[in-house]
Amino acid sequence: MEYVIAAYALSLGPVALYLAHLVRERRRLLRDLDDTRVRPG
Amino acid sequence: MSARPVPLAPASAQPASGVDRLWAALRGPSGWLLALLAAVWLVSVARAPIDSVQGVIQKILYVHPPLAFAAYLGFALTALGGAAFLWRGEEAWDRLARSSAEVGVLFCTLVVVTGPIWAKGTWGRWWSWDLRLIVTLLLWFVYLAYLMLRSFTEGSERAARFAAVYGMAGLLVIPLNYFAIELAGNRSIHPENLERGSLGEGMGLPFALGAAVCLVAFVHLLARRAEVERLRGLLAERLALAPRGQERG
Repeated sequence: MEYVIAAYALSLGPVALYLAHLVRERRRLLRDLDDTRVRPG
Repeated sequence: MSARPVPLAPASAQPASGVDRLWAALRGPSGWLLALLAAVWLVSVARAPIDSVQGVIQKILYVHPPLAFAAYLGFALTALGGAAFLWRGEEAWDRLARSSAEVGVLFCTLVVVTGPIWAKGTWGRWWSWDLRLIVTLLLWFVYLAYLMLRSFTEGSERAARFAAVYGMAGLLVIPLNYFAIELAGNRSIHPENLERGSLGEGMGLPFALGAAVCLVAFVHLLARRAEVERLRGLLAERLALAPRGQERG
């Protein structure tokens, strides 16, 4: 049973971590894009 | 005196090309579908009958081949994106190729991780130099090399063209991987490819759900990865256009 749990945990865990990384990266890029606007005056 | 911030060109972070708009449209629905399918899948795996030959370890079947299907899809899209980039010259296709290679490598890594766990439980050892396993490792290395090539040659159009050809050539490993068991004949200890009706009663649903979860997860991750790639390009473009000292507001 422990092999089955390990296989599922090692499949779902990295996918969830990668998804979280993409969500964070998108937020950071949108923030940086917002910061690149020129503010005259 | 304060003025309304004026964005540098391009004017908005909204997707401009058709491919990018497709990913933006898929992001939300695929996320909800993934959450729903994953919950149903895990319940169906828990309730699936125990295999009379392998015992409970056979339940790895509901995740290991579906991960491989998603990896195959990733590499096929890498080739497709590369071919379309060479033909049309649009960056959106190159972003598709690069993003799907990364997501494909993630799924292929998980295949390479879950396979030995199943092997240890059934064959009694983590690894065997079986043709299927060797070719899976080769497939993984081919697209890892693709990602390394892309990361070392960031922003180079010539490298993007080379990578497009490399990504298409790498696709040849997929049929070799799929038919490796037939090619090895009776020397292969890896189980044969599944065929219609080869699963026992009550095992078809968790397997089909596993395949659906992996494919929807692939689409969701690809949609997000392609958007990140587009935003990175947009940010680099804006920083290049911004006057010195005005990069940040």
